[in-house]
Amino acid sequence: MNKNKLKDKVQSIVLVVLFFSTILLLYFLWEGSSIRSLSLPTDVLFPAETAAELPEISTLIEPCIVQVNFGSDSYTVFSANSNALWSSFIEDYNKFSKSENVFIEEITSQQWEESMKFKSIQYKFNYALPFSEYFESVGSSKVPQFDSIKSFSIIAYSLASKVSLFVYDSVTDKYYRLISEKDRTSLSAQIDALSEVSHEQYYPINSFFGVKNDTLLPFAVKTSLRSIPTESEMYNLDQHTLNTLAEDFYGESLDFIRKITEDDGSIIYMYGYGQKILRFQKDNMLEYKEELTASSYVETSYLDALSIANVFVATHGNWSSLEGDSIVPYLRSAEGFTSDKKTGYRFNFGLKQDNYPVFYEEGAPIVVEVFGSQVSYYKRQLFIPTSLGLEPSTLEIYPIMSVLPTQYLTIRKILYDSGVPVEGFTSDEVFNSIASHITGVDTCYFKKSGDGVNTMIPAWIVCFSNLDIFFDLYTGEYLGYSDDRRR
Amino acid sequence: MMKKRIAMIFVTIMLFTCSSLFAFAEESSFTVISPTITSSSSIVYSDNLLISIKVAQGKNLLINLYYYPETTYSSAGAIKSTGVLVSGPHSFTSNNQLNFFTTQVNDIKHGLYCLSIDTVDAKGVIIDSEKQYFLTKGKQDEAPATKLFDNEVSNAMQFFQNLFKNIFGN
Repeated sequence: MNKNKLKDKVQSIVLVVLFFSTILLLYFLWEGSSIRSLSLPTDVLFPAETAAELPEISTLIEPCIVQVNFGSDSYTVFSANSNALWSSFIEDYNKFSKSENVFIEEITSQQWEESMKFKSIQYKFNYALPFSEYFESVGSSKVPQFDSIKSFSIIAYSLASKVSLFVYDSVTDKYYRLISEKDRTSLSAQIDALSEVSHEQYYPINSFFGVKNDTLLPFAVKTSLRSIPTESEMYNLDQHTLNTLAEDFYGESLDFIRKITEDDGSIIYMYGYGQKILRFQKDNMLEYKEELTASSYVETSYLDALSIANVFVATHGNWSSLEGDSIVPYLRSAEGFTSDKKTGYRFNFGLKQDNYPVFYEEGAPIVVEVFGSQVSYYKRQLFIPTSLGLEPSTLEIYPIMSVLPTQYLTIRKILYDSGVPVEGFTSDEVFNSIASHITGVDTCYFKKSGDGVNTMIPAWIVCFSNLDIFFDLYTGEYLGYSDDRRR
Repeated sequence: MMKKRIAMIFVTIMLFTCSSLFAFAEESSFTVISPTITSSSSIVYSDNLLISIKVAQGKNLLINLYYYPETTYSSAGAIKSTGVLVSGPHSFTSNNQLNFFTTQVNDIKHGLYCLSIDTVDAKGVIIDSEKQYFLTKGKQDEAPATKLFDNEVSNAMQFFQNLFKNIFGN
């Protein structure tokens, strides 16, 4: 009798559990919510060692340049220390967002341009960040009025209106002014403080060459950049190491994975009929592709997708080099893509050497595509310095305003081949057209592609809308170009 | 009749050819891009002076910048005082198809300046000389002279816009 009672009790409990499970599953099915939202936090999923190597999203996101107008046509650009300036700005934005009365208004591009002619500071990004999502992620108060700003790629402060912040959204090509009741930021004082710091003088291209372009060029730069020998982190990896790396992608066993060795020494690990393909290009790079599974697609926000990419890199090769050498990654560019009307994101991560960005002739160092919560593509080609570098060159830096007139025919050919229209017939007309298309100039390291070319060379990077062209920093000679922002 | 027409066309072509030849002959050996001095304004608002000169191929220039701490004028209006050399002499030879001479003078004293550009022949003899006078002034960095934004009106408008948006949705 007791046994029967116990049996009934157990049956009742099982029925109740099943009932609630059914309701819970129906809820997820009805709401379309992600099971992932129930998943454990990252620090539980990944052991402490991995979490420690996982860079904060906030450290990956930084402006490509911070442009300061000190007034009186005196400009400078900070690119090497842009992260520190951005962290400081976030603190100021937090104060601004706590204002009781904040408003937003759309302004014209002319009003923006006029405002930036005053003492001002502009934080410029290579990509568009979701406005509210980003600032909430860095601890700012939510301001419902600002929800109408979809994204931002430039945020600025100007003495033209001390109670305002200025926002440019490159996706919608709209300009906004965020208005508080009083100036709560310390940005005006910061601009004054920056003017006291040693900085290089920049002038608009218009002042150098007389063409309509406000992009800034440095008159002279002081730098100790030197050529640095590098080696691919994939160089000379043995079979055991490659198998261990492959296990990160396919689990602990490679029993159901086909392994193909190509003529050039590249090794391919393939699951099924190509649903998952991992390719180690000999001594050079790792590339992983996964078939898109639209059926299990879960809508993911921009920053969640970036977080997924961040964790994926940490657990598939690590954010350090495979040998454990420290590298400084940052988010270089990001763009959305669609498949079956569903959105994914492609993140290109760059590296910094001694605070200067490193550019490869072909592709970014790390590329991750995130589709929903699925990583559908991952490419990794890292070149790690093998020594501290050669002695600094005793040559003087070749000024950029001399590089452009001497190399204008080379630039014209590259732009023409890439489909950028260069107008004019005479040398003057062609040069003016090129100068008016420039969107940025900076110093960097450049690594050319090809076997046996393993040196990072100090270079000028001249940016156009869809490609970058590189010239030797000390001789002004043409080094190469890269259009990886489009790929 | 036909001969007349051909003669007319020939004369017209000759005229155009001659005028373009004269135009080339009178073309200046340089163009000053910065500082920007126009016929209507010769005031430069800046604390740093960038000098950028576009130079035609195969020309030799001698460039000097003078500052006039105290300016006195003759009865005819000509400048009597002596300028102090603040930058130069810069000797520049243009060897390429496109040539720009650039230099900068930082933290300048505001006042009257003269940019003197001499064209020099192969023997070093000055064959042409040009002087451009301009004033420098500091830029006012306070609120814009003409209001860019009408804060009060737009704030009030925006408040109601936001209020209505919150009530009725976007």
